[in-house]
Amino acid sequence: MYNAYEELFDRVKKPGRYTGGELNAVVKDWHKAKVRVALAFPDLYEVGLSHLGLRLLYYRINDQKEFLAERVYAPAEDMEAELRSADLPLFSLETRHSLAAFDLLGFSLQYELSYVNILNMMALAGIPLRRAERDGAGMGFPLVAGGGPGSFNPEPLADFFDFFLLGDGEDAILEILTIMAAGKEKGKSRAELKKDLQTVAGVYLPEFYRVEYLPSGAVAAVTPVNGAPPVVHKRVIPDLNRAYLPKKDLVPWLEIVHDRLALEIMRGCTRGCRFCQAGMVYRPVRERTGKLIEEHLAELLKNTGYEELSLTSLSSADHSEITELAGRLVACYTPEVSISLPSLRLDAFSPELAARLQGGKKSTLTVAPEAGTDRLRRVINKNLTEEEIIAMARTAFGGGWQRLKLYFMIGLPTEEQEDLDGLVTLARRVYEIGREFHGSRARVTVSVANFVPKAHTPFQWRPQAGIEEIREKQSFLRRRLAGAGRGLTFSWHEAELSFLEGVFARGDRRLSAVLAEAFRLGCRFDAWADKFRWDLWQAAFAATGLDPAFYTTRPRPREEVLPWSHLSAGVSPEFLWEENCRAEKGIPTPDCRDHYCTGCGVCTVFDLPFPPAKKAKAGGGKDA
Amino acid sequence: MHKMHKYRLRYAKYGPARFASHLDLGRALGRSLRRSGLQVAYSQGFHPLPKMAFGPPLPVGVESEAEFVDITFTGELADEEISRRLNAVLPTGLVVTGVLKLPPKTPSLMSLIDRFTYIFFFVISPEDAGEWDKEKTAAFLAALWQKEELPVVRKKQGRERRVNLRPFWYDYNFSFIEQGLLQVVVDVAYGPQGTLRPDELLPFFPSGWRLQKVVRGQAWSGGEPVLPVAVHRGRLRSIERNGQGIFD
Ligand code: SF4
Repeated sequence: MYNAYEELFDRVKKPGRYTGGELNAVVKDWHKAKVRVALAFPDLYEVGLSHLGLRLLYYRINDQKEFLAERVYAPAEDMEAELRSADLPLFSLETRHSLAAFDLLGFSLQYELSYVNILNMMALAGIPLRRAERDGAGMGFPLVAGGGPGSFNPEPLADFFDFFLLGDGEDAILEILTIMAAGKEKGKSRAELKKDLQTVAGVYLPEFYRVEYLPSGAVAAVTPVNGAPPVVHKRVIPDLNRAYLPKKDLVPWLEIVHDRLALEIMRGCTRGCRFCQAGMVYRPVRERTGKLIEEHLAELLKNTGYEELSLTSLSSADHSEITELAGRLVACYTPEVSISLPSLRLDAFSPELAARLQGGKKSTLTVAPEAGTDRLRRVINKNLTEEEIIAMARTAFGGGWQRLKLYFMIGLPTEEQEDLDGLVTLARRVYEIGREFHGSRARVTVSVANFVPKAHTPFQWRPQAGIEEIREKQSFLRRRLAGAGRGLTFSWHEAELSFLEGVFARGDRRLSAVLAEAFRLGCRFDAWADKFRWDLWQAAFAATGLDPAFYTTRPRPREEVLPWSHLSAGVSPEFLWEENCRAEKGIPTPDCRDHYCTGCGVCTVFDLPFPPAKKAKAGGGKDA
Repeated sequence: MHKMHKYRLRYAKYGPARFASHLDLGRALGRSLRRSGLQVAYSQGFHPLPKMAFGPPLPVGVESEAEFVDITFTGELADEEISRRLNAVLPTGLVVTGVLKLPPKTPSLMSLIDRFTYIFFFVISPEDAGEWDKEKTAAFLAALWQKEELPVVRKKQGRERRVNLRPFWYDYNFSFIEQGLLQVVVDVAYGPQGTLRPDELLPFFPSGWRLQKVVRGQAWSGGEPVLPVAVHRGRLRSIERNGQGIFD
């Protein structure tokens, strides 16, 4: 079997996506492992391997003698065709076993538009898509599981998955595998095994919850059955300094999206932007100490040889030791190793530090105003004023940078024409400042995303802007930004893509049928605009009789039972609703690390200490 | 400023490494050098790169026993130390098989190499294996060798150009490893006068010969193998592409 794939490799693009054999890949003895896990990412290798979380679990599992983990990524179209015509199953990179041969198949759920790829990957390995079918087949197929942000509303996937893990996976995964190993040894049935898995904190088994619907289509009730708890709370690692960290990291042959060493320096963010799901579901903030980060980086660099390292988190600039830490790393490693932060946001960094991090190259700096006016920024709790943004642009262009990127969203709650006008004015003003300093060499990129309301955020009750509305707003912006000059470019996202993302972000279980139908019709890689087939999706909705607008453009009353109401990220619904009301009135809520606890509830629920206060802003930047 | 010491490394590329492009290889070797802790010299600038100069690129998918790269170090090192420390950290599919300290002003690999040897490994299907004996194979290759024109169409920047491969084909040989398992050795020109890629020759072989793999076996300069020669005990021994170690 192992060699059967070799011939395929010669015929596909980028065979390195499938060959395995990367530095620090772990190839274990298949027969000696008690439990075998396939860690799957439903997107291309270059995207999937860039994802830190899956690499962490890969080493976490393989560090245990009795467990084995291998990797698999979504095959590109050409490989899918080769597999189908050769009648070979989708396989793991390490030992090239069919995904069907594993005990557990775990998918990383990073974004909604990759869900169809999940079904494709299962189908390519001959695994029945529906959980009920697999259950009917005895122990012949793996348990299918999911983790990552998508597991905070996994309902659209409920028909296909055996369980989801909410929250931090480092420790939970070993508890899960230990239960599976014991179950295997005792010859337990799938049903018995799942009952045991329910005891693991953070594990959610959709089959243990019955969902009933109102005639309107809204959820009437979610009722636990089989002794399941009424609410599943996410799993939390209380202290990152004692959490597992691998001593090595994969070094691919191919150039991948994030082709650098990455170390997570902090988890969670308490800035409280009301649109941001990550900011709500990964609370509270937990830091790794500078000392631990430095020691660990030294070890990882020695074992990987990477020429670039990245300090990752939701807002690395908020780490309480970031200035000192970045300074020490720059002194120690540059220029042979360059140091980066996920995005060098000027709203958090002084230009001097940014310059040092960029090795004096002064490439691009980023500012994320998110909305066009001070009023709308207060609504979304992104508390940055126009004056401050202008001042940042002045510092950046004056400090020698020629390129500035501005991030915005449209379709935000309470958005008016004035806010779009504000966006245009702001972008043009920033560009004018660039011209003042650099003339025709100044570049400003205005990147405008479409707002998609997400579960577990203050805006989870809000209507999403429809496709037409987004298109009109985009064309307005295009028209108004076009005349500003050659150095100002406008980039946007497809309205249909964001709309579909919104359907699944706040969807319910009935959408499983739409996913199955879209898969059958041939949808793949929907997150890639050139592969996205809106016509097929529309056909899938029509065939299943579900209206995508029901999930998106409809405002939801406070009393409505949300499809994810039995899943908890620790932040209370009362806090979210309160935040939603404050948004309406444009009242900001401060970061609990700058002020006092604002009562989101997460620290109380998990009995955790309040997060560490931020130190003085890194080099005097303004809080945003 | 440190005194610079230039070394020529010979290495083999096989298994999962055979799909690595020239760029991929540069990255992998650069990272391996960092891991090895050897005192490699870096270029100037914001993103310094290890000072490496590769020989002619190897077509993607082709394995090789004769790849070369010149690397500059900031200290004098024993040949053995370079190969030992690099081999300890190289990814599967790359192995250093020889090291040579270069005297100043040694010509670059690109200007030195004028000929390559490629080895094609073919499997002949069981039905046809009996028919393709030594005589018939010899006759077929001799007839091919006699031809004056071996035309191919090359695409460059969207324009198509007819090229005759024959002048770039220097020599050949063949042997049967066993019945149905054929090894054809071909020498081709390399340099400003032109070259041919091994895959360009494939259509001229019988369709019943199924290619298992191609290996670049040797690089030549003025009729002599390019130095260093392989001192590593490793030798290609299996034609299975199992991606695991195919070296002893
Ligand atoms: S419970 Fe309070 S201190 Fe803890 S994250 Fe929420 S708002 Fe911040």
